[in-house]
Amino acid sequence: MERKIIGQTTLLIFLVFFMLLAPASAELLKVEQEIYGMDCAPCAYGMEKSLKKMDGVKKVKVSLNKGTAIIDLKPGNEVTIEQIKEIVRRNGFTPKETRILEGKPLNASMK
Amino acid sequence: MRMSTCAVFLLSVTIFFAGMNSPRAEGHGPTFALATPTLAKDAWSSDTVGMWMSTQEGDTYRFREMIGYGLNEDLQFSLTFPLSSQISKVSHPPRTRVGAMMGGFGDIEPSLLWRFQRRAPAVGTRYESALFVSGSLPTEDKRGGVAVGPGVNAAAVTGYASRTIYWWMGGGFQRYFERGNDRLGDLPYLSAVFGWRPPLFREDYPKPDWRIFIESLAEFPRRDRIDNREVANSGGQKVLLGPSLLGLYGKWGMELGVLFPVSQDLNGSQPEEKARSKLVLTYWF
Repeated sequence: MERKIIGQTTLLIFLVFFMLLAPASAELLKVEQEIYGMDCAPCAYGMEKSLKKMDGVKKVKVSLNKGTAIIDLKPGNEVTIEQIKEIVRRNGFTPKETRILEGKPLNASMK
Repeated sequence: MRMSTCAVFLLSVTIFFAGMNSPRAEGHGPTFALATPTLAKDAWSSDTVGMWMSTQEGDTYRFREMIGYGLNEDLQFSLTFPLSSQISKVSHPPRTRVGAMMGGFGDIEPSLLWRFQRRAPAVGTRYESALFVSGSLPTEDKRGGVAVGPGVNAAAVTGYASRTIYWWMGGGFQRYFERGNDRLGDLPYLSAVFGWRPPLFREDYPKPDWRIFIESLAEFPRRDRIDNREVANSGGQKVLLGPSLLGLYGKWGMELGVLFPVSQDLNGSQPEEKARSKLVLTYWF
């Protein structure tokens, strides 16, 4: 009986441990980032290029007229919303609302 | 010869350093006037400029190169230098900068553009202000018969950019130091520009991005000095106005503009300016 409880407890600890480590259940897969202040084609080109440089990014589509960047991410990526916003800032623009179209944030605020 | 060797060396060095990074681009403004856009952090850009000036005395041209680097998203370092010039063809070359951000005719000019205020109230719109400071080293001994020394330049500009309307206004002051007993006169200048993107050109990225500007430049050069005496046939004031066109496609940009004098009040018997035109090719690395 005692051995059974120890076995079950060990199994439970392992399960919890692996659940905490597993990123698949908490990663961004597709994000729409709203950007204020971006007005020209080279702005969009620069934004697209720098977002694509992040590890785990599959595809980026920037819209000047909508003021958005849609970022498709690879499974297993570790990209956070704050990293995306920081890249927007380094390009000289203002990041606004972030909409998660697919996936879940690792740990980030939405605004 | 001295200018060409210097230009080739500087161009090689800057292209080498530009090739070391693969950065972002930020934006671009008018052809002749002061503007606020700065490069993104770690971004590089190259502007190659051809400028033609037509005066009563004859026509001249000059080519310059400007390499820009974004130290951060609001602070840009640039180095601009002459590639070639035919300015010695005329005895009274108009006193101007080859575009407000591009430096004097034969000068090597390192500069800093600091965008100290920026506000983005909506999609595609920005209000911003910037300060521009530079130093200059001449590549030629004399300009218009006056021994030319090093100089400094400072300017301030504020403006607005959006997907449909643009405007910037600013002013600056260029001062050359004495060389021997000669000194080129100071050059205070003001610029204003209004831009518009016609509905036809409001397609979304990555389609080409075109806009039209009306630019105005006012220059108030002071008298030159030779052997510590003011030169009678130098200095005056001039107001120019004209259209320009900016085309942007991905990492390429092209600007073309022409200014015509609407008012000229030149001291002494200097040849009047008829027009100046400028072509700029830009590449964002």
